[in-house]
Amino acid sequence: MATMTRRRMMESGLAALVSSMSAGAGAGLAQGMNPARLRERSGTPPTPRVLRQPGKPGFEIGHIPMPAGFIDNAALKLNLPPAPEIVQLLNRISYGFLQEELDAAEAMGYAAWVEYQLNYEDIDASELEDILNEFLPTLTMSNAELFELEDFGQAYIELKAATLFRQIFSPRQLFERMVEFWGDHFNIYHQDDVTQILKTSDDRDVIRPNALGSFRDMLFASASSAAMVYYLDNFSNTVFGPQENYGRELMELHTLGVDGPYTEEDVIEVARAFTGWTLTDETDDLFTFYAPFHDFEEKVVLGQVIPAGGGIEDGEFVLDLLADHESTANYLAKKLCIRFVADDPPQSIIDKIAQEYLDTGGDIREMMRTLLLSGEFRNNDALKFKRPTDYLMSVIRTLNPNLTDAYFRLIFDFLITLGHLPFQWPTPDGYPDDAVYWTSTNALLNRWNFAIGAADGGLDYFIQVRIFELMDGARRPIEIVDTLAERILHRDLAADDRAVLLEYASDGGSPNQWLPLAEAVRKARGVVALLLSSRYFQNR
Amino acid sequence: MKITRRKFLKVSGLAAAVPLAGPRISLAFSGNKGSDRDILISVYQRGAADGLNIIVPYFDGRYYDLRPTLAVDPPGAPNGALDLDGSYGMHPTMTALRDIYDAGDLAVVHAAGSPHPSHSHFDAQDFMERGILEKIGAYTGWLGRYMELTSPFKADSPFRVLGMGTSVQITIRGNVAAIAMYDIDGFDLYAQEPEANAIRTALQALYPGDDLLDVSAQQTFAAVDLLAAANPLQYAPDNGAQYPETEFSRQLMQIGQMIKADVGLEVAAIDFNGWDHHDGELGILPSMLQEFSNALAAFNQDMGDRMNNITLTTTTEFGRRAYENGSVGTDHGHGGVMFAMGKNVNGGQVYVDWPGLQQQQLYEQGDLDVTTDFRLVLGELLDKRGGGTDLNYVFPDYQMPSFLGIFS
Repeated sequence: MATMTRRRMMESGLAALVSSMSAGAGAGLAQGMNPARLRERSGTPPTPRVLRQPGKPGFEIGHIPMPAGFIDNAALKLNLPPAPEIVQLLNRISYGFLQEELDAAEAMGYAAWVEYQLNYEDIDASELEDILNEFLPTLTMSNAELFELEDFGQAYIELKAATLFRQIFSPRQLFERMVEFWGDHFNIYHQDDVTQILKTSDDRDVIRPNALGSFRDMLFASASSAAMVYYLDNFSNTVFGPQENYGRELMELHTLGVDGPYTEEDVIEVARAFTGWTLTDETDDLFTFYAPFHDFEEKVVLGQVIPAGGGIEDGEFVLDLLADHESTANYLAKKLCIRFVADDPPQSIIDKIAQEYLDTGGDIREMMRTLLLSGEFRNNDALKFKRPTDYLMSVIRTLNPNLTDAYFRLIFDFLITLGHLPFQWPTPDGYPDDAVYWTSTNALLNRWNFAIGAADGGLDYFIQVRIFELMDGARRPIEIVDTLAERILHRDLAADDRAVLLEYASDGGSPNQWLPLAEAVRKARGVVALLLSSRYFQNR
Repeated sequence: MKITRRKFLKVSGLAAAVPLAGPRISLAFSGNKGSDRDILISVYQRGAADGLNIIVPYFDGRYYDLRPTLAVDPPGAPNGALDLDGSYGMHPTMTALRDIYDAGDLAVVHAAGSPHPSHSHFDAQDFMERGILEKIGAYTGWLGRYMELTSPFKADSPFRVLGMGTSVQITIRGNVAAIAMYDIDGFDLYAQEPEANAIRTALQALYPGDDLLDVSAQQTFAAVDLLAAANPLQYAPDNGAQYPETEFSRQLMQIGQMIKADVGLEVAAIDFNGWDHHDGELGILPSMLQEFSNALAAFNQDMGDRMNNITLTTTTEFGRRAYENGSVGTDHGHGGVMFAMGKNVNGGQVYVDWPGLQQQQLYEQGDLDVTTDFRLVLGELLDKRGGGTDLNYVFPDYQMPSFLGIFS
């Protein structure tokens, strides 16, 4: 995207968001809306709704907790002509891409592009980050400062907004994908009372600094993250009343995996080790180890004795033990492969990544390098069904449309309907990552409506496709179809699918006829809608 | 305020966009009246609802020992439980459901659940939805497998199996395709004229195969067509029923609208999230139970005589620990509570083989034990109200004992 245009779209979108929040709409946004109201744009802001405040019940945006793994092995096998290797790479490690990004990647070469994206610190994202920090002041606040906010909903909306803006606009695309991955892994539901504000620092201080760094560091940071300590209830885990929620999820979801080698007894022992890891209002980050709450007796975790008399070291010992564990390596490797390779990845690649984890002491960047350069990844014709966020972002990043001031509202509301708003999965297992879960009538219908509306002008209030740029002068149905397929999909169409599009664009006439401009544009918009709605674009 | 499609089109500037008019299915339906099968609705309380505080065993003094802060007082005390049978009482917020219990249309099953030892929400929900204890290859849900053995109320209806929500619950997954619908309102395809029909035709042709995605797409087209023709939103709640204004209630009301619209619905799954109360249970559980109770009661009222052909059951992955924890909450337990509602339910009774709460009686020394397998309840449901089925197929690793007589 041209720099000035992009800057203007980022700024105007954020300005509109901020002004709608000050009009009281922020909390209203957070509660979600009915799908048919999604594209509502009357002048009046929606009625403000109060988010759940501490100690008071509220209701949750409903999602169906679903288990990861143990799912129907119904991999997608659509039999589409394979995409070029570099197109596949960009599809998998970014949230959609423009022709110019593809050109740059092709010029650089596959391995160099991987290296470029892995070394994200060297990619300049300062323009975006500066704008975010300017418009969204809660992003940089300490937990203590966040608590002073009059409206917790402000932090809640700003973090969601920042997350989505980064996915759309950041040049560090792989990095943002990793942030999303680890945000899912260490899932914290954003509407569990004070997690509305505390998730902000968890995202900033736990996930982002380590997303392509050290898993061990992230695990340690997570264990003392106020948001996590609150969400999994460890703040109330004391020697007087042990509370096993964190201990259980730490092993089941964060490290060993549900099939890992731990027992119910281990859950209790781990909970005991973390007694006293709690919250206080006397530090800026709110976390503290409070010795009077700690259980100083001996513990035995996974057969390892933690001698009596230890304090905070008990929990740290457990974190080290879990971080070093082979089951953790296998579990994380499999999750990464499911995210980036296939719903049912080959065991050979899982083993390689797990070995890389063990060899490097949990270096995520090394794991990802091995993964992205592996034969299993490169020669892989399995498809990954885009999750809703992937899909919406890729429509926007691919079309490079003119985004009006209100576009964020559109994305936000579609994500509610599709059940994939950032940090809105209520249970600690995080959003699922498989086609069986995400493929549904509700999903397809709303994805189609987003794509059709973006392409044919129905959502012009939010997204205006630059149709002449995309058409590049094409006036005959055959040119329209081939030009747009290349611009949007960057791959060959199966003959049958191309025939369907040609028939649509020709409207019973010859595919070689010269169309009047108005008709050519109308058909081009329709072809864009169809390409974005097709199986090709539903997958990555 | 309800925003109709017309208003939506107007305010969104989409006046030129109309729901795509594909081949519409004509409605010549007769519903399940006269059928020997009820419409079955499965409610999932996700997060493990606290059965001991929902149906209070007030006769058992140990309950009060184990829960000094959390226990619900016996009937008669201020804010005490609502007596059911001299031994058990409902949480005081659940007056609406107690009325249905008194009318004989609601049954309670206590110390119910899965014998599976998992204390993991995700594993336990998974096993329960699949209706199995072992990973034995039954990768579909218990209601989904049941549906595989039935013949449709209405041939070719895409709405035989409906999951309210953004995706299809495992419970209803099987060879009969299930629809996921977050909200009836807006469940349509929108495109600008004059291209609308042509886009619809081409889009359908772009999903020609029998892959997961193709099938889901074809199903979506069929569902959109049928829904447009049947227009379920035209049906207001009957009999003065008042649903709470919450997502669960709206979705339950919409199941009712789908039934009234006679689209061939046979089974539906719906979720009520958020029952995982490790802390602050006293602040949260009462309002959730009230909503739960009022929503179910509103549905019962709304459906009226239709409840002769509808049976609703509830499940949760496990109950909560018998003793309270240090944060005014409860950790993951074992046995819980199930409900069954409808005119064909032998209600007004608590079905229970009380395992006791003495230390040695607790499951793994902490939890209310399971004395009624959830599959026994659901098996009887399918046998009596589902027109009979092959229970060995639906619950493959379960030897069904004698039924409890919950359904007639």
